[in-house]
Amino acid sequence: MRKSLCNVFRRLGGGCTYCFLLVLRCPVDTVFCIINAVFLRKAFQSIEEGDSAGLLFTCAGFGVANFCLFLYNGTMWGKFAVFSARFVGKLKQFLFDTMLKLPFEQIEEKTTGGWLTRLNSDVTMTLNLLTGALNLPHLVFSTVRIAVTSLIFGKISPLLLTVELVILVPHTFFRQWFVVRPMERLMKESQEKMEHAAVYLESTVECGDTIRLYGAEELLLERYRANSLFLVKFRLRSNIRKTIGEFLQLLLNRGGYLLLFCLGCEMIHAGKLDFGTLTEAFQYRSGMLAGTMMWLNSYAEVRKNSVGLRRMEEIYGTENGR
Amino acid sequence: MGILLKEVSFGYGDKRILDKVSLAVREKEHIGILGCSGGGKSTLLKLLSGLYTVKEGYCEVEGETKPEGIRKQVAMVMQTPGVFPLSIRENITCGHPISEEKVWEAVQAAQLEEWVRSLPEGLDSLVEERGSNLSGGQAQRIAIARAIAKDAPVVLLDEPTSALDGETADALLRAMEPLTKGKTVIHVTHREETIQGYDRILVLREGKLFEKESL
Repeated sequence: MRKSLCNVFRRLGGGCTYCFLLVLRCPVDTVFCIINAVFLRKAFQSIEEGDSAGLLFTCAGFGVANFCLFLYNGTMWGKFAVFSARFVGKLKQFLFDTMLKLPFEQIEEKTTGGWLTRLNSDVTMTLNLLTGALNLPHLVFSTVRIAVTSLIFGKISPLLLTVELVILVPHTFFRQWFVVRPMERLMKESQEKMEHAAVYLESTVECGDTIRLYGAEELLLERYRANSLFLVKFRLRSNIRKTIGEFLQLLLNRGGYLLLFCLGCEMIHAGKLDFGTLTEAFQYRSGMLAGTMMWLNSYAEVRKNSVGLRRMEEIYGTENGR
Repeated sequence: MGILLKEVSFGYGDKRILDKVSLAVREKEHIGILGCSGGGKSTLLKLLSGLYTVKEGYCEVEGETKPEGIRKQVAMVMQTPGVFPLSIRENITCGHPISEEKVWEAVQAAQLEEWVRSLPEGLDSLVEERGSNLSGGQAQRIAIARAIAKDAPVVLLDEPTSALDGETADALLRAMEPLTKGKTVIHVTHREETIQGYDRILVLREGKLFEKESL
């Protein structure tokens, strides 16, 4: 996928702007998590010490920090939206130009449905991949978030981090195996079926006279129905996989929280932690967990949407190819 | 009476294509209609096949006057053969319960047998979108086989050989003989040699029909 991405940016430009915007937006989630964690620790510590001035200062700082972060985040997403709108226009025009310049036999090789899918849904998939929520941007943001929060979490309590990792790592592999991979396969099949459906629709329009004269409406409708039925089945299967994923996520979140809470209470009793620091640790744990979930979901979406990017390469060629 | 048209007029918007056209065709009579491009030949056939609805005048085909009824009485081979992205069998039967034997008879009559038997999947071989894996002659022969399999009493031919080279066109005309034998036929064309030997030859000019001899 990396090669395909480089390829599309090499042909259309905008790669540097895209990376720059990604880097600028990167720290937001991580900083938000740190602000929350520090606020909770300081607030609880101020309460424990009966320091109302300190509590007021902490709350004010929390408000200002969140406001600044909100402004920064909004500006960054706004810039992303402008970039997306320009990029999709350029991409469609580029594909159309390339298609027109292709040798005619190559145009004939593909069905009209195939070309339409490439110009519409494959472009949308690529756009989603590059700028959509839970796609490539979130994959990068979550990587940074996991790295930073797990480091701070480990610094607070290596034991709690180890326990968390023991739960999290097998969960990640299980999810990949049962949710991400099958979803990717289903997505590819559904794109192919959508192409066929478009071919039947086009034939219905082109050969309308023959269809009416020979009473072939039912035959073509039956084929179209078979395709639609597959798409319904795809959505059902896809929803089942999503439900499995969500159930596992809930289990990990609640189960892990209970376990760590018990361990944390033991540590407070043993005088190794105070309540404020445990709350802070939980915030980093939440950041790490949310980052992991975001990473997994984004990874699944990235793999799913990269199908569109790769299919588009069939038009303009791979980096080493045409 | 095979076909009866009385003072039929038809147009697109303000443009009048057919102007009070009358025509009576006896059963099993073969009629050739000559006319230049844009003269309304295809429009006339679309009215006669029940694809267009007659709004001015009267049209009767094999006793049927409603478009749905007319369509059942008519088989038509058009200038551009409409082929579906389905199997050869489905292109011929159009999903109707036609026996294997009848399908092969139609294939044989349309001179497609040798080619179909040479295909690994025979009648179940898939035709690609817009018939891109077929030659012009093969696609037109599939359309002829479809018309033969329908076995309708009226056959309408809308310049079926116009897009083909001379040799293929001649072979196709021979392939159409089993389709037209014993049927009421209307063949529109701009090439007179393709309708030689027909019972009557008419000319469609400026939306009106004339007997050729009367010109």
